[in-house]
Amino acid sequence: MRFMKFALAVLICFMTIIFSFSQNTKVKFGVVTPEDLAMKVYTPDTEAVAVILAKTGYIEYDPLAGAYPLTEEKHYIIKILKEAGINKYGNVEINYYSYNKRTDVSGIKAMVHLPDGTEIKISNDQVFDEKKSEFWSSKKFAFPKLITGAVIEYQYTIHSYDRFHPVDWFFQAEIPIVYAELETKIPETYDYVVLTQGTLVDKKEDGAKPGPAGIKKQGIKVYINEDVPALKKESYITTMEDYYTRIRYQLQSVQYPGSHREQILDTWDKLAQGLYEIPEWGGQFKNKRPGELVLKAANITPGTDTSQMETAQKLYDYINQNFQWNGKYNISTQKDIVAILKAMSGSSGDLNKLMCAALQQSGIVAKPVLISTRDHGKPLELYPFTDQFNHMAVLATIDEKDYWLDMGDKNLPLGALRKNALNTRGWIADEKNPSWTDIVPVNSKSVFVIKGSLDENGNLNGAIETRFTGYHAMDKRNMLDEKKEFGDHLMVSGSSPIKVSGLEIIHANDVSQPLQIKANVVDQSIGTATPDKIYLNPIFPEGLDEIPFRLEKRTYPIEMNYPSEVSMMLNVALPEGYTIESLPSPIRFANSTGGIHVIYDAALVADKLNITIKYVVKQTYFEPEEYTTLKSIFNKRKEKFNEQIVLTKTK
Amino acid sequence: MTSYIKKYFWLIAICWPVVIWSQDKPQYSVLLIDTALLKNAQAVIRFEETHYIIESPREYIQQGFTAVSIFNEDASASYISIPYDKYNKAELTNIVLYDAWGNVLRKVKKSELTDHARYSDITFLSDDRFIGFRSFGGQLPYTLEYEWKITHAQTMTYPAWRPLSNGESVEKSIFVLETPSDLVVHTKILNNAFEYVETFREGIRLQTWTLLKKGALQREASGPSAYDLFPMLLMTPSTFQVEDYSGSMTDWKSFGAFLYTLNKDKEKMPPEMIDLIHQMTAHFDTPKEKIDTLYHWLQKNMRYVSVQLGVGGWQSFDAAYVEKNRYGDCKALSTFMKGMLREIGIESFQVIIKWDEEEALFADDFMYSDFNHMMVHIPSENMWLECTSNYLPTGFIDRDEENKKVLLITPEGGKISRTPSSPDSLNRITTTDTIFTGQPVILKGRAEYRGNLQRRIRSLFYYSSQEEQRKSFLEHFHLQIQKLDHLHISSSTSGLSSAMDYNATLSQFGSASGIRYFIPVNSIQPPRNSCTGNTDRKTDFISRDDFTETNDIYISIPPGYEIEYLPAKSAFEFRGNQYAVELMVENKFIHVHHQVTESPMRLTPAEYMGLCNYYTSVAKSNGQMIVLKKSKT
Repeated sequence: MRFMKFALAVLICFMTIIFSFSQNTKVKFGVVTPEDLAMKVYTPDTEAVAVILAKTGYIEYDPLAGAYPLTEEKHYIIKILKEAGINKYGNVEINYYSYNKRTDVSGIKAMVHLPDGTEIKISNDQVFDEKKSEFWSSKKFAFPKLITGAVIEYQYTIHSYDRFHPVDWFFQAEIPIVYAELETKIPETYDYVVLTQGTLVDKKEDGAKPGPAGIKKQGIKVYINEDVPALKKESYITTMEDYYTRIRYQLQSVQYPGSHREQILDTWDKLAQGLYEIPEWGGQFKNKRPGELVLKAANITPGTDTSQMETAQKLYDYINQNFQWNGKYNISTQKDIVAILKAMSGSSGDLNKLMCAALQQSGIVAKPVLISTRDHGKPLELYPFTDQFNHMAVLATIDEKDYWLDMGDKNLPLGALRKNALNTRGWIADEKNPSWTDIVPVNSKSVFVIKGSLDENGNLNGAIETRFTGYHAMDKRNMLDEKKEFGDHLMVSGSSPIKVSGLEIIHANDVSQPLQIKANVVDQSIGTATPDKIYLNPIFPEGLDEIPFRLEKRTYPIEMNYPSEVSMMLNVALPEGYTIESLPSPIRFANSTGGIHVIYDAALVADKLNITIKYVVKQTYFEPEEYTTLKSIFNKRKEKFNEQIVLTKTK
Repeated sequence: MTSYIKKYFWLIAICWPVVIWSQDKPQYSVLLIDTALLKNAQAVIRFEETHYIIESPREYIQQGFTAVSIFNEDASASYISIPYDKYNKAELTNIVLYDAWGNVLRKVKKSELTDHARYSDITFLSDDRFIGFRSFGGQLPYTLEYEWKITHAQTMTYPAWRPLSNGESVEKSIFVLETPSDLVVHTKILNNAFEYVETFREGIRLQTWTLLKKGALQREASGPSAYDLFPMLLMTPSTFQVEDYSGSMTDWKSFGAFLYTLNKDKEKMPPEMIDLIHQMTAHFDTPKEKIDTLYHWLQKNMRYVSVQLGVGGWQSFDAAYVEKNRYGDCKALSTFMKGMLREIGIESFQVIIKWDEEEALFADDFMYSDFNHMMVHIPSENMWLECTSNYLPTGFIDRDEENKKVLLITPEGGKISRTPSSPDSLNRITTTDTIFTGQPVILKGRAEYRGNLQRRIRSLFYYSSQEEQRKSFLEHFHLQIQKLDHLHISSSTSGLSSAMDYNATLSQFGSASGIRYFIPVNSIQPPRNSCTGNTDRKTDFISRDDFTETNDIYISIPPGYEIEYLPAKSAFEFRGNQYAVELMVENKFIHVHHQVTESPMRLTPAEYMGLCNYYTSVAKSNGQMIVLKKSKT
C-alpha cells in the first residue's frame, strides 16, 4: 500500500522532534519579547494571518493523585498579524469532557500584550462555562482590546482520569508555529509506546541528538519542534490530523513496585481475545441466542433459502428497513443485541453487530471488522489498541465469495462500505486469528448510452439510457430521495438543461440492482448549426469538463476515497445531406502509473456517428509531487471533450 | 355512542395519560390517514393540541401534546426540540413510539433526552438552550407521541403558533389561548385556514383555533417565505414584564419606547473616551467628517463578538463594558457608536432590522418581532451605519440590509422607516479580459464590482491574506490557470467600487482539433442561472437580484488561423432580464461583448416557465463555439 510508504516516512521523520532532558520550558507566562511584540510579518511565511509563537505543554501522570491522575497544562502564545487573525484566534473555546466530572479545567490565565506594551489580563468573570451537552462543556472567553500586532496568551490545566493514551499532541497547525514543546512526566511504573508522525526538517542547532522512532523511555521526556510551517486543509484528504506533525502515547505495560510487569498493550491476538470476553461484544457472537433473535425478528429460517445470498440480502433489507442509524460511529462494546433490537436504532457498530451475529447464526461465515473512518484518521497496524477504531463493519463469505456489509444507509448496496469507512485497511477481529485486510471499494460505474438522430439545427432526438452502480448509484438514489431538482437534472450534461420525456426509473428502491434511468431526448441542442456546417459536441455525463484540482501546488498526499468509471456511448444518424468533415482524433491518455485514464474515440460507422468516451480512476492515492500531473490530465480531458465534430452540408 | 367516544377520545388521551400510555392506539394506524394528506408529506401531524395559559403580564405557560406519524427518517418532526433559557423552565415528557398500526413500540426514558446549548455559527455565548430527543421508530412509518411544557417567569413576546411546517400535513391541530378576561393579547392570523371559537369561564377567556385536514406544503428554492405560505397565529402581549422592566406592545411606538427605556443611557461614554472623541473630531468642521472619523475609529478598534445574554437578547451592554473589552455584539457596538455621536452633539437612533435576504414579517398595525440585528441611523445626515463591520465605508450597508422596513428606537418611541437601496444603475459588474492565444496562453484581466455587489471582494480585500485571495481566485475562476502571475485586489475607500486585476498563464484555452480551433463564446463569466432542475414549481419564484454585468473578452486570433464561424449577435429579454451577446473582429482580436441584466421579479409558477425558456435560450447561445480554421496559405 502506498499510504504505508508515507506512514513510514512519517515515522522516520521522528528526527524532527528533539529529545532532551530539561525540565524547564523556555516559555514563561506573561513574558513576550520586544522583538515578538514589534513583529509586523513573520518572515518565513509572510502570508500568515497569525503565528503561534509558542505552544507548550506539560503532561504529568501521577497514579496517586486521586480522582484526576492525569494533569495536562497547555500554554499558547499567538501573535496576531492580520485582521483575519483577530477573528480566527481572538475567541477561545476550551472543550472538555464534563460527564460525571471526568475531566475538569482549572487555572485559566489569559492576557493580551498590545503592541505598545500594554498588558491586559482577563479576569475570572470574563471566562464563561457553558454546558454544551450531557457530555461536553466548554470554557469560553474573548480577548479584549484586540488589534493587529497584539500578542494573545493563555494557559490552562486539564485534569482527567485517563491513563491509557494520555498524550496526543500536535506540533503543527493551520498557521505556523515558531516553538512547540511538550514535556511529559510519567512514573516508571507505566511504559508507553510513543507514536510519531511528521515530515519536517529540524532546524534546532543546540547539539541535541535526535531520538529514534517509537522509542520507549520513562521518566521525563521533552519534545521540541521549531519553525514549523503551516499546513492548510484542502480537498481529497482523510483528516488533517493524519498529516500534521504529531505525537501520541499508548500505554504498553504497567509494573507496580514489587509485582511483575502487567502487559497492557499486547498483541493483536490478545486484543481479539479481550474483545471476545466482553459480553456486549464477543458474547453476542459466541452465544447463539443474540443472532437467532435477529433472525427471528427478520422472520428468517436458516436453510430455507436457496442460496446464502438470498438469506444475506433478506437480512440486509430487514435491518436497513427496520433500524435507523443514529449518526454515531463506534465498535459497539456497550449495547447488546437485545438492547439494540429494542431501541430500533443504533450506532454504525450496533447495526453491523446485528448483521454479523445473524449471518453467523444462519450458517454464513461472517466476521466483525474494526475500521477507523477517514475523518477519524488512519489506523496504525504496528500498535494493537482498540480505540484507534471508531467503526465496525462485517466481512462475510457468501456463496464462496467475500462481501463487505455495512448497515445504516438504505441506499448503500450489499457489498459496499460507507464512503467514510474507505480508509486503507480494516482489522478482522477473529477470536483466534485476527488479521488485517485491505479495504476494497465496490465498483462504481456510470454508463450513458445515447441513440438517435440529429437534425439540421443541431438538435438530437432519440433515447438515453443510463446505468449506475456502486457509489454512483448511491449518490443518484440519494438525489431521488431528496426529490430535489428531480428528473432531467439526473442526466444533464454540465450546466445546459436537457429536455426529456417518458422518464423511466428502474430499480429506484432495489439497491441490490444497478440504478437505471431511461428517457427520450427531445430536441436537445448538441451543436451549433451554421448555414453550411454543424459543429457538434455531444458529451452527456455531467462533470466531465470539471477540474477538481485548481491550486498551484500541494504539499501533502491526495487521497480520493474510491475508484470509479464513467463512460458514454453515442450512436446518432446524421441529418440528410450532411457528411462528416472532421472528427477529433481518437486518444487515450493516462498518468504514469496508468491509474487514471481517459479514452476518446469518434468514428463514422454505417453512416452513423459513434462516439465512445471513458474516464477511469483506479488509483486513489497520489503523492504531492503528482499534483501537477493530475492537474494536466484533467485539463487535457476538458480540452479533448470540448473538441467539436464538424459536419458539412453536401446537398 | 361511537361518535361520542371519537369526539372526546383526544380529551381522554390527554387527561388520563397514565392509564392510556402503555396502551396500543389503533387510532394512530397510518391506514386511517386520508391519502390526500400523504402527498409530499414527510410527516403527518395526527393530533396536536397546544395551550398558552397566560396568568399575568409576567407569567405564562406553554404546553402541548403531539402525535405525529413519521414517513421519512429525516423529517424534522422526528426530532423534538423544546427551547428554553434562564427565564423559563422546559419539560419534555411521556414520549412513546408506536408502529404503523398504533401498537406501542416503546416508551422513551428520561435518560435518553439531551440538553444542549443552542449552537450557531456566529453566536459565541448565549442563554439559549433546548431539550431534545431524536426519535427512531424502526420501520417507517411510525408514530411519535409526546408532551411538553415551558413555564415562563418573564414575558416579552409569545412565540407564534405554527401548526403546519415544511413538508408536513395535519389531520387536526388545536390551539387554545387562555387569558384572564381583562388581559388583552393581540392576535393576527396569516394564511388563514383556522376555525375559531371563543368562550368565557369564570373570568377566563378561552379562544380556540383549529386546523383540520391540511395537506403538506413544501418551500421551494427562491420561493415565498414561511410567513407567505403557512397558516400561522401570531400573538403579542399588550403589557409584559421582563426583570424590572414592563412595557407595552400595543403598537410599534410603544415597543420602541420599551426598547428605548431598556437601553437608556447605556451609551454614556466612559471618561477616558470623552477626551479622545473631542480630540479626534476637534479639527473637523462638518458633521459628516466627524461621523466618518468616529466610525473609522470604531471599525479599527472594536470587533464583533456575539454575546447574547440577558433580557431576551434585547438589552445592550453599556459603553463602558464595550470600551473595556473593545468588542461587542450588534447592540453593544451600536450603543457605543450612538454614545460617541451623542458626545459631539449628533443625534442618532438605534435601528432594529432583519438582516437577511428575505423581507421581515413587519405589519404596520401588528407588533411581531421578526428582527435579528441592530444598526444606527443618523437622521440629520440621513445616514445608516453598520457597526459590526470592520470595513464598510461610512454610510454603506450590506446588500441584505438594503431596502428593509425597520424600526427606529427614538426617545418618542418606535418609528417605522426604511433603509435605502442602491439602484440598479449603481450595481454593476464590469469585466475585461484579454487572452493571448499562443504557447503558453496568457490572460490579462480586470473585474470591477460596484454598488451592492462588492461583498465578496471587500471581504477578500479586508479579511484575507494574499494566499487566501489567490486560493479563492483560483477556485472561482472559470478557466484553468497554470500559474497566477499577478493578482491585485482593491477596494476604494469611497465605497464606490472594488476590483480584481490579474495576469495568468493558462493551462489550456479552447480546443484544437485537426485544422480547427474551437473557443467557447464566454468561458470566463458563463451565465450563472439555469433551469436545469425544478420545472414543476408549485409556488412563486422570487428574485431580488438587481444588477447589470458586462463582459468584454478580447481573444487574439492565433497566427495561421482564420475565422470559419463567429456566432451571430443575439439578444433575449424576459421581464426586465436581458441578455445580449455580440462578437466582432477588431484588429487581430475577436471581441466578445456580453451583457446581462437581472431585475427583481416575482413570478407565478406558470410565468416561471417563461423564465426557464429565457435561460435555455441564453445557455444555448452561450454554448456556441467560435470556430477558427487553419489558413490555406
